[in-house]
Formats: sequence, structure tokens, C-alpha cells
Amino acid sequence: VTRLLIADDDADMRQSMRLLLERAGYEVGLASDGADALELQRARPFDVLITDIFMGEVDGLRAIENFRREFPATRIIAMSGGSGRLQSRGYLAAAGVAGADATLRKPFAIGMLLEALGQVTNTAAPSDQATR
Amino acid sequence: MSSHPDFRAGGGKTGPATGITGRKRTRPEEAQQRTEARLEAELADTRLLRSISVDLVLEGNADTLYEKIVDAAVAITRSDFASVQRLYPERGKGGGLRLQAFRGLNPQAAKLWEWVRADADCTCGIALRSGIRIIEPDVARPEFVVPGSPHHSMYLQNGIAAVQSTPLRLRSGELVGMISTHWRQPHRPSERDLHLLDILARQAADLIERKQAEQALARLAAIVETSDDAIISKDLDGIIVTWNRGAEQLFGYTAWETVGRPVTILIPPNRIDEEAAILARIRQGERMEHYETIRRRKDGTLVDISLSVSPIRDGEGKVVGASKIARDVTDRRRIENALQEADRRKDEFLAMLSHELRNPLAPIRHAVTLLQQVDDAEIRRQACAILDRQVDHMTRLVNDLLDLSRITRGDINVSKQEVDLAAVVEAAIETSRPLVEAGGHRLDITLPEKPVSVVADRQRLAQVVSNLLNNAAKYTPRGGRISLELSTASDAAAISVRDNGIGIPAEELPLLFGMFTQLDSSRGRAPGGLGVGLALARQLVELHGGTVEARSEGPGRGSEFTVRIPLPGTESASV
Repeated sequence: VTRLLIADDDADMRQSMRLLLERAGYEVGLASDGADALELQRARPFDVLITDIFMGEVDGLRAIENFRREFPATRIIAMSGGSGRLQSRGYLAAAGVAGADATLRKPFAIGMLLEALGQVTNTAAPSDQATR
Repeated sequence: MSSHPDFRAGGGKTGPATGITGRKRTRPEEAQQRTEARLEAELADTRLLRSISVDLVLEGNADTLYEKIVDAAVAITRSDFASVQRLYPERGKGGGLRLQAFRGLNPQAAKLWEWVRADADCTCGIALRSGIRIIEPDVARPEFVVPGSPHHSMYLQNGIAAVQSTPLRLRSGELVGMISTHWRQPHRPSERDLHLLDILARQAADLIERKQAEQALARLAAIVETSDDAIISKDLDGIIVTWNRGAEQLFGYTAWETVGRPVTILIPPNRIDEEAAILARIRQGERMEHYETIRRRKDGTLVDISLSVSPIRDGEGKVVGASKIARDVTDRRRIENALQEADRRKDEFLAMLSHELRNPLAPIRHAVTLLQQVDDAEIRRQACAILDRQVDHMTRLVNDLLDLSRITRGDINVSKQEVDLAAVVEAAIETSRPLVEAGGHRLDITLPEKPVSVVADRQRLAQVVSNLLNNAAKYTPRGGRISLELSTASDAAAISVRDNGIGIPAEELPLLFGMFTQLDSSRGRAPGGLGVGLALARQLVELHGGTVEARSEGPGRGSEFTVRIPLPGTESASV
């Protein structure tokens, strides 16, 4: 079973995604920020990190960098709805530079996430798989 | 004067009738007596002129000067009446003569001749347009004045039988006024009288001109001296020559301290090159208008100024210096900056608003998907709980937004009635409890034993207290302590909300109750709010005649917010 780690500071967002992804057959772990996510990953690595970018600070970008360095095999999907200062486009572009394999703009239909998951888990060249 | 225009409206006769006297033959002794008499007369004339001219030259007051010129004209020509007029070249075509002083004229005459235009048919009008002296030895049979005209009638009405008008000319030849003398009997002034009159006219013209120039200078000096703008002049080496009171106020130096020193004492070191560039342009005869720059005051502080610099030219048109007008634009700058800052805050607020409003959509969307696809009762219950919370959250945001729009329109209404503040506080705690509990905070509440009765809008006041509690919960790290105390002093009830949270830097305290200030705060952005809670709180408290204040010992040292509402019967409670 593919193991997914969802990092988002909004509890309802984490929870709703977990319920949907579990139904789709994934095993799901939850983290409320980047440090939390890294801790869980070190305890027992996940296959894919799905992380929000703006969690209080731009914590998600640091998480992406840390995962890239420490767990190069883990695929990463970044998601953002933007913040007061920057549109989601800006953060998602930054996430791509930091090493995310795919990016999603919030809010998104769960189908798009499943599609992105299918792409990042089935291919070996992640950088070509960014969806928008 | 070989020719002159036809200055009588009807045309006809030309030429002034001056000095037409016959000469008889005389015997030698008579001739000697006449010579002696003439010499004596000339000596007397010289004395008269000398005393007149000393008197005129020494006269300081312009009005008195005109009076003295009139008196002198009467004395010289032995006339019964006299007037002196000054030319205002810009007044009508050919200019206008204004009556400055007169002797003997009745009020109607003074009124008619208060202003005489170049087309008027009196001797002075004719003299003005012809440029030469006009003599009417017998007004009853006029050579120049039109019989029956208002001017002719006025002569007769005043009992004037003879009149002459002599132009006042400067050394340059420019006509600046008119001296007229009038007699009750037909009279042709002698060569001697006219000669003396010409000398008086020349002297009077120069004196009047000088007096006018002095007055103009004094006016100009008064304008410069009283101007709020700094007005400075300097020579081409950049040495300060004059320094007005505005300059004293703007730069803090007195004229004593600056005149004779280089103007660079006003220029901050990093702008010192500006002076050479300004002087170069001035030498080319160029002006600089509203050049915005920075200058240094005597006390070393810098001031934003708008500078206009113009070349000063001498009589030949050569540039000999520059005049500078400097205006303090610090206030304008500050307002501009404040406007830009407000604009920036508004833009950031809008960006933040759209983000905050979109945030709940993602979990809502997922919860709806779950409800559509899942039959499991527990999952459906969880999805409903998510929907519930997120819709609540959006409702709060939208309500905040509506309140915000009411604040900006000044359109918040409160409906006041007698309420117990303890009940208000309890309602607020009920509203804020989920947030306080979510943060794992401990909340201590201190209420007085007796009810605290005030006249207030229960719901709005509860909103204020709940905003303070929410802030305490948001800005205190997990597991913090929050205390709420309701107390009364002599004239007001106080509600204090204290926390041991992240605190507020001193420099941010004054900004706290402004709109949109959350974004810039080093407190970081608290999730799920628009940053209008405190602005709204202040507005609502003020509508109750109360105050709200914030205190913090600094970052990491907690915050305390205190709302004071006047008790009934105290002065401000009647608001």
C-alpha cells in the first residue's frame, strides 16, 4: 500500500483529505507543520508527501527542501491557496524550484489529487511530471 | 516742439499760447533800474525755488509731498487754485490722471477730476494727450476746452477764469503727472512764472517717482519679510546676501548668522554637489521651479523642501545673483507617504481577504465529496462536522467584513439598554470558549459580587470582549494563561483581558487599533481573521462613551487589554 503523509495547518483540511485518500486505498499519516512531518517521516518513511506551503510561515518550502535532501526517493506534491502577501502561483512556482514533483492550487477536486498521485508514484523522472 | 497733434476734439486751433510778449524801447537808466529789478526778482525766485526744493526733498510722507507741491505751485504762479495729478499709465487708453492734492476746488470739481482720462476736454486731459503745456488765459473764450462741455462748465462753476496745465516729466522725459494752476481773473502766466513752474515740475516729477519707488520697495520688502516661505538671495559665488524671517523659521539661523556666509551651510554633505549645478544653471540665466530636495537646519535636522531659484539681473540684464524661495514640504511628504502606506495596507488587506475567504473552500469541497460518495455513517458525521466548522468560520469572516464596511462608513448602530456587565462577559466567554479550549489555555475569570449595571448594547459589547479573548487565545502559545477581570472604579467599569502570550512591541501599541494592522505586526498573522477585531472594538467602545487601551511589557511578556465603560450618572455616560 502506498503511504501518504499530509502536512497542513488546517485540521479540517487534513481530516477531509485523509478520509478521501483512505477511501482511494492509500495509507495516510497527518502532520500539522513541516517539523512534525519530518519527524514522522524519520520514524517511518512515507512514499509521498502532500504538503501545504503556507503553514503560519512558509514552512512548507523548508519541508520540501528537507525531504528532498534527506529522503530523495519520496515524491512530493505541494498545494497552496496563496497567502495575503503572495498568490498561490508564486508559492507553487517556489515549491517547484524547491523540488516538488507536482503542485496543486487550492481548492482542488479530489480527482486532481488522485491524478497527480498516480503520476508521481508511477514515474521515475519526477521533475517532468509537475501538473501546472 | 515743432508740431503737435490736434488735441481739441473739434479740431481747429493748434499750438500753446505761451510767452507772446512784446518789447518796448527804453532809456538807459530805466534799463539799469529794470536790470536791477530783474536781478532782484531772479534772486528772490532763486531763494523761493531753493526753499521749496529743500522743503520738498526733505518731505518723507508721500501725501504731504503732494500737498507741498500744490502749495509751491500756488506760490510760484500766484494762482488762486492748484492741483497735482499722478499718471497711472495702465488706467485706460493713454492712461489716467489721478488727483493727488488740490487747493480751492469745490467738492464737485474734485469729484469730476478725481480721475481724468486722456480724452477728457479739460486742460489737464488735453495736456496729457498732447504731451505739452496747455494754457487757457480766458476760460470764457477758450482756445482748447470745448465750450459747454462738463469740464468747461465746472471751470465756470468754480469761478475759474484762467487755467494752465503743465506735464510733470522725469529726466528721462517720461510723463508721470500734471500740475495745474487756476486763477479767478483772466490771466496769462508770465515767462518767469512758466520757467519756475517748469523747474518745479521737473523736481516734483523726480521726487514723486522716487517716493513711488520707495513705496514699492517698502511694499516688496514687507512681502518678503512676512512671507512664510524662506526667501534668500545669494551672489554668484553662492554667498548669502539677504535672509528673511521665513528663512529664519525654516532653517533656524538668523540673518546675522547667515548673511555673508556660503549657502552651502544649508546643504547636507551628500547633496553638496547640487549647489554647483544650481549656480551653473543660474549663470546661464535659467530658472528652477519646485525642485524637491533636502536641506539641513541649524540644529542639524534635515527638512524636505521645494526650492525655486531665479537669476537676479542688474540694470544691464547681467546675472549677478540668485533668489531662492524654499518651502517646507515635510507635512506634504508625510501626508503623501501616509496615503501610500494606507493604499499599500488596503491592497494587502484585499489579498489577505481573498485568501482567507478561499481557505475554507478546500475542506468544504472535500467534505461534500465524501457525503456524495460515502455511506459510512461515521465518515458522514465527520464530513458534516467539517462543513459545520468551516461554514461557521466563513460566516465569522463575512460578518467581520460587514462590520469593517460599517466602520469605514461610520455606520455602526448600537441599541442601548440597562445591562449587567457580568452577563455581557459571560456571553463573550461562551462565544470564545472553543478558541480558548482549542489552544489548551487556562481561563481565569474574576467577577464582582454585585451586578455592574451600565447602559449598553449587550450584543455589541459582548462582541468587543469576545474579540479580546479571541486575540488572547490566538496570540498565546499553546497551554497559556488568560485572565478576565471585571471591576468598577468611581465613574467607570473596567473589563481587563490579560494573557501570558507573545506580547506586543512598544512601537506597535499605537497602531494596534488601526485598520488592517495585523499584517505588519511582528506578532505574525493569526490564521482565520481579517485583522479588524481591535479596530471594531475601539469603534464600539467609543460608541458607548468608553475607552479601550492596550498594554504590553514587550515581546514575549504578554498583553493586557482594558475596556472602560462609564457608569450611569457620570458625565460621559450621557453620551
